[in-house]
Amino acid sequence: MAKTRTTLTIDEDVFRAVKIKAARTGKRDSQVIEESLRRDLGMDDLDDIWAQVKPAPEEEGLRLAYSELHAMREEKEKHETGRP
Amino acid sequence: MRRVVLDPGVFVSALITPSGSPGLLLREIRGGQMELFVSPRLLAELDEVLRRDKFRRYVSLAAARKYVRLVRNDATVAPDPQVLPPLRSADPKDDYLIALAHSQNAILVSGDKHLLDLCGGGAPILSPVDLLVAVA
Repeated sequence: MAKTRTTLTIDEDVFRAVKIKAARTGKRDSQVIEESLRRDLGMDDLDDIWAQVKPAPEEEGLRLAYSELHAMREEKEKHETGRP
Repeated sequence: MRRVVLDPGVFVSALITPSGSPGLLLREIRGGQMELFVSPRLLAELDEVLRRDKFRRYVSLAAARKYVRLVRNDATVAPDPQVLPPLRSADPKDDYLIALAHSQNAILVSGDKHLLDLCGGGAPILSPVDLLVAVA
C-alpha cells in the first residue's frame, strides 16, 4: 500500500514511549506508530480473520455466496408463511 | 468520498475469497477510500447466511461472527428503509438493498445478476470489479 507523509503533534511522554518501544523492538518510530494506530482502528482484524480462512476460488466464492443467500431467503420465507 | 452499500453476497464473497475483487474492494473501503453503509436487515442476513453449513469448509463460525462484528463496527448503520425503492429488482427480496442505497445516496455494489441488470437503466449499481476500476 502507498505511504503518505504526515506531521503529528503528540504529547512528549507518548513520543518518548514510541522511541523506547522502537529501540526495544528494532523498528522505526513510524512503524511503531502505524502498528499502534492499526490496532486501535481495528485495521488488522480483517487480516486476522482472513488468515483463518481456507480461500475459495473467486468464481466459486461468488457463486456459493449468492446460492446460499437465495437458499436462506427461500427457507426463511417458507418458514414464515408455513408454505411447504 | 464515495458512499457504498455492499449486498450480503459481496460481503460473503469477500470473506471466503480475500484475494478476489470483493475482498480487494473491502480492503479499499477499510483503507478509508469509501464510506460504507449497512442496515440492521442487511447485517441480519449476512449473519444468518454465514451460519450455513456450506461455509464451514472455508471459515469457522467463530471467525464468521467476528467478521460480522467487524463489518458492523466499520460501517455506518442506517435504518432499514420503510419506503419502496425507485427501481424494483426482478427478485423482490433485493429491493431493500436498492432502497437502502437510494436513501443513503450511495452506490449499491452487487454480484447478483438481477441487480446488475438494473445498472443498464441508469441505476447506481456496480459489480465489485467495476467499482474498483472506477476508483483506480
